[in-house]
Parts: sequence; C-alpha cells; structure tokens
Amino acid sequence: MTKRGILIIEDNVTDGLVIKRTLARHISEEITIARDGLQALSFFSQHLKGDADVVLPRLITLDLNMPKMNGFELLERIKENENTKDIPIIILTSSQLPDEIKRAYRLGANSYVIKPTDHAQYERTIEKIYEYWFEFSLIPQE
Amino acid sequence: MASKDSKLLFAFIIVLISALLPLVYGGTYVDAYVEIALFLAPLLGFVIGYYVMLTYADETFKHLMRPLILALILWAMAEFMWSVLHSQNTEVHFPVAAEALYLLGFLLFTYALIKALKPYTTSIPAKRYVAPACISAALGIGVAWYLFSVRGVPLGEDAGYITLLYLCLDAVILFLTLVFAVSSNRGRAEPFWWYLVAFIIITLAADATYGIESVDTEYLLGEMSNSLYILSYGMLLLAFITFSSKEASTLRQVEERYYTLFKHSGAPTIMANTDNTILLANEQFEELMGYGKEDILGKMKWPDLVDAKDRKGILLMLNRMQNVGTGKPLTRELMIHKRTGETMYASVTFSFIPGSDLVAITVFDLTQRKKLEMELKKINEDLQNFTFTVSHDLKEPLRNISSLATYLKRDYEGQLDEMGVEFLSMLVTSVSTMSQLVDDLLTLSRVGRKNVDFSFVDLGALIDEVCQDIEKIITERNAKIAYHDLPKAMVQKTWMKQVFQNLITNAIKFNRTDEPTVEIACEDHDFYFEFRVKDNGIGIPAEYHDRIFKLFEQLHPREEYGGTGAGLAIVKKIIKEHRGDIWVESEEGVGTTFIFTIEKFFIGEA
Repeated sequence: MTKRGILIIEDNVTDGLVIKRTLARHISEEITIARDGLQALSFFSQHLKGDADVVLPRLITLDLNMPKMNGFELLERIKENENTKDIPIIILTSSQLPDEIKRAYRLGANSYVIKPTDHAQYERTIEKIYEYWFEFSLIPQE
Repeated sequence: MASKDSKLLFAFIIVLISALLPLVYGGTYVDAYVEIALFLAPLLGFVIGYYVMLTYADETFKHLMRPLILALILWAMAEFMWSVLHSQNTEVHFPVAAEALYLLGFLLFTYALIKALKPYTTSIPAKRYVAPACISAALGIGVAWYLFSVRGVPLGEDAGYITLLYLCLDAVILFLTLVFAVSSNRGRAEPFWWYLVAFIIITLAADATYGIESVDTEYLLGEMSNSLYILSYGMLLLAFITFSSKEASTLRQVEERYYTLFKHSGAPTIMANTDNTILLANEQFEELMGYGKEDILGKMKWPDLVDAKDRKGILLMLNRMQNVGTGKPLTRELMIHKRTGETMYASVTFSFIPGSDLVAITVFDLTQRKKLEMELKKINEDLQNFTFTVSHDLKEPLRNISSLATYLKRDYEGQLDEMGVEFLSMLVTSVSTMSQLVDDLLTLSRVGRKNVDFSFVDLGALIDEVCQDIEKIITERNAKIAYHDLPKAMVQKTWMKQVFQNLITNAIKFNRTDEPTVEIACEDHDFYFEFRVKDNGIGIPAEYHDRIFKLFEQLHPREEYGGTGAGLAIVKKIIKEHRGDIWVESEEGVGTTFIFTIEKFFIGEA
C-alpha cells in the first residue's frame, strides 16, 4: 500500500495552520492535522480497519507538549507499531531542553526541529523541512 | 621540657667532672691554672651554646649551632691533651692529635657557617660579600706576611705550615661570619654575630702569636697567646649569652604571646610544613574534626581531610602562591571530612609564615551558613525555572500572533485602508521586540544552570568563531577586530562565546566612526586573567557605568540602536559564573573599555 501525504500532530490551532499552509505551497498531497495523540491514534486505526479514504502518511510532524497523550507517548506507540514504524517523524516543538531532545531520539524520532518565534523564520524552517524530506532525501513509499 | 632539662643537667655534670681532670693530671705543674682555664673555656662555651640551641634557636640557627658546639668539645679535648702533655712532659703523640682536633673543630665551624649561609646566598646582595671578603683577606694576608717576612717564622717547619693553615681557616671563617653580621635579614641576632666576629679576630691574633712563639722563644708570647685564646672564648660566651638573654628571651616572650593566641583564639587552626604534615593543632581544631592530638601531630597530612574534588585545585593554588611569594593569605571554601565521616563546608585560610616552610591553616565551619545558602539557592533555582517556563510558554502565543499578523497582512492587505496596514506593521514589530525580550530572558535564566561543563578553551580561536558568527555586522560597518596574547583558559565555552559576542557587537553598534575598532587583550595575573575589550565608540557617561549592567536597562532609544538591554546583564551573569567581575572605563566620544576577570583555577561548581 502506498503512503501519501503528511500527518501534522499539533494541538495549537495556529501552529497547525501555519505548518499546513506553508507545506501546501509545495506539495499537492493530502495534509492532515491531528489535534492530539488520541486523534492521531484513531487516524491510524481507521486506516488499519480498512477505511479506504485513510492512507498512511509519508511523513509525520509531531509536537511534544499536547493534552491527553503527549508527544513522547505517541512517538513510542507509532514506533512500536509494525505498520507505522518506518514513517519518518519530525519533532516540531518549542522545547529546547537537552533531556527532551535526547529522549525523543532514543524513542526513534528522525529529526528534532525548534519552532522559531518569528513568523518569517518559522516559514523558512518549515520550508527547509520540506526541502530536506521531500527533495533531498528518500523515504519509504510503502 | 623535661627531656631538655635532663640533657642540660647531664652536660653540666660532664663539665664538672672534666674540670677535675687537669687538676688530677697537672696539679703540680705551675701553669696548670692556665691550662684549666683554657680547657674550661671551650667546655663552658659548649654547655651554654647547647643551652641556647635547645631553648631558643630556629632551624637555620640550629644548623650552625650543632657543629659549633661540637667544635667546642673538640677544642676542649685538644686543650686537655695539651695540659696532660705539659704536666707529664712525656714524649707521646699528643701534639699531633691535639692539632688535629683543633683543625677538625675549625673545619666543622667553617662547614656550619657555609651551610647556615646557604639559604641566604640568593637573598644577600653581592655587595655585602665584598667588604667582608676584603677585610678577611687583608687581615689573613697581613698577619701571614708579618709572621713569615717580618718575624721570620720558617715556613718549612711543621709549626709554620700549621700556623698558615690556621690563619687561612680564620680568614675564611671571619669572612663568613662578617657576611652574616652585615646582612640585615639576620638583624634579629646582630650582637651575636658581632661577638662572633670578635671571637674569630682574637683567635686569629692568638694563632699568630702562637706561631711566632713556636719558633721565637725569646718573647713571653706563649702566655700572651694563651690569654688571647681565653679572651676569644670569652667573646664566644658573650655571643651566646647576649643571644640567650636579650634577643631570644624577647623572641620567646613574643612566641609565647602568639602561641597563647594560637591556642585560645577560638579559631580551629593548624600549622603544617611543606610536605603538608600537620605539626601543630589547637584544641578547637581537634574538637571540630573529632581527632585527638596523637592522631594528628606529625602523622596526618591536611589534604587528606579535604574532599577529593577540592584537593587538587587548592594544592595547585598553594604551590603557585608559594612560588610567587606575595605573602598574602589565601581563603577558599572547601569541603572537609570529619573523623565521623560527616562532611562540612568550611572557609579555610592559608597563611605562609615568612622565613619558614610553615603554613598556618585556619578553618571556619560554614555548614550552617551553607545550609541557608543552599535554601536560598534552591529558591533562586525555582525562580530561574519559573522564568524559564514562563518565558517558554510566552513564546507560543507570541509565535501565533506573529503568524496571524503576517497572514492578515499578506491575505487581507487589499481590504484594509492605509491606517490598518500601518497598524499591522506596528503589531509585527512589537511582536518581534517582545520575542527578542523573551529570548533574552530565556538566555539569562539558562546561564547558571549547572549542566554546562568547563573546559580548556583557546580564547583566540573562540574570538575567531565569534567573528565568523557576526560577520554580517562586521562587514556592514567595516569593523576591525584585533586581539593579542589571549590565553587558553578554563571556561564554559558557549557562555564565554556569548560574552565576547555581546561585547564586540555592542562595541560595533554603539559606534559612529567609519571604521569601528575593537581591541581585545589579556593580562595574566597570579590567580585570574584580566581581559580588556576596548573600542573607539560613542562612550558611556560615568553616571551610567553601574546601570548598564542591570537587566533591560538601555541608555539609547530602541529605535536608534535596537536591542533589548539584556546583553550586558547576561554578560555580567556569565562572568559571575566564572567567579570574576566586570566593570567599565569610558570617556564620551573617545571610546569604552570593558574590563572583566575570570578566576584561573576555577573549574565550575558541582
């Protein structure tokens, strides 16, 4: 089964909007936003139940500080699951604590990116994520 | 004390018994009384010298006194042999043996003087040698010339050689003693040395008359040389007595006074030598540490009481201090282990005692204060964490405002009038200022978090890195950055980079010349480095020299120079973390120099 599109897991509405809008300028594939860990998990389970409308994403961006289920727990779940564990996960967060960076990589994160405060820089950062993961490097298609 | 008294008693008994010996042998001989006097004089010298040595003398002095009193014993033995020889009139080999003893005594004395002088040879100026050398040489040569040319003492005969040998030794000893006598650092015992000089000169005269007498019997020189010998011993005794009665007793009084102070000052104090062995400890120290005298004195080395993490640093510093010899005491906070295994924070003061290898160490228990300090530190840390969290959480809505304002401007610009667009721009600028403020707050709250390691950093290379990072402003403003003689130092690299970056950026920013220049130099002091960052900028009025280091304090409107006013507060905090200080020297319109220090041997707090 092919993987298409991007899943943005982000509780902050504006942040989700910015990430989606910026990426949408470059790719035409589906961009989905999950507001917290549980929503993200239900997205995956819908796909596994055979819902034809739901396709596994090629790339996931993940915020760490979220209500209900935080980013670390979700990261662990995604990386434990046979169907989802090969999807690259980019942590997109404002936390720069060394312990959190270490923990994210230990749990299998593929990249750790800080959200800049300034909007222009924020857009540049997201564009760079796009360039790296969609133009420069190869990721599993299925 | 008891052992010293018994030693003295023993010496007196020997003298008394010995005094009887010439009487037994030479009771019938006419000159027996002279012989007894000649015999008793060095013996008496021995006893008094011994007493002086045991009671008062310092280590250097003891090195001199020991061979000297041994020489006195040898001379007494030689005199005794002479008296036996005279009274018995036998043809035994006593004269040779007696002369040998005299010579041995003189050699010992010479050796002792050379040894005692050795520690001072570097500190005594060369000119102090010149006069004594001339005087002794002149006296020696003069007397020898008189003897051998004028009086015609034949050199070929044994007596002639021996006389020459004595005179040579006399001259050498005279020289050495004179050097002592004129050297001011022996000033404390000055009369002692001058009597010693008199002793040698009179001995020299006695030796000369003795030489003449041995070949030229027409004069009654034998009596004269004997009298001179007795007189010379008299001088020696006077030297000892002067030393013991006046100088040393004052010394002892003073010592007694300071010993009492040491014992009862209430401050736990020890005295240690160069290999760190504790030689003396007062009761307060024993009580504080939980050790008894028998565990400490002569056995324990004080660094063993210091926690391992502090030990190397303090030993390094002390070693350094001893070599530099500033004479100032050094106080450091160290972790100390008590006998019970408890640890204690203490303020420890090391003072080198001048002219000796000893160091006095005073320990103040800071446990109570440290406890309060830790509580304060905890509160401070909480506050810092609070600042960190708050500024962190502030960033999210700020970022959102920034994004939304940008979208509003980008997507709806056509629907807004001129005023609306202007307001949006102002909104974006405000958000960017506030985000800078929040970033600075975050940086400030991160300085002092203990997870940044100290390492040896080449500061020249560090400045090259900084220049690369701020290349844009350097090229834009055509700035010249020069540094020289920058050392490798123990610093937190990231933070030290921030210090130089902030200072250099300020120097370029607050500068109206076409070619802003920044000069960075370092002075190497004993325990710290002093850096100077000098520019040719607009300068800072004197009344602001303290205020500029306060958080968010700005001297110029933000519109003119930008910035948030946190830069120097951050710099100051980083410098404080390196146990240093920062201040500024500046003249308006001429330039500004920021001066900061960092401690050399500080490797961060655990």
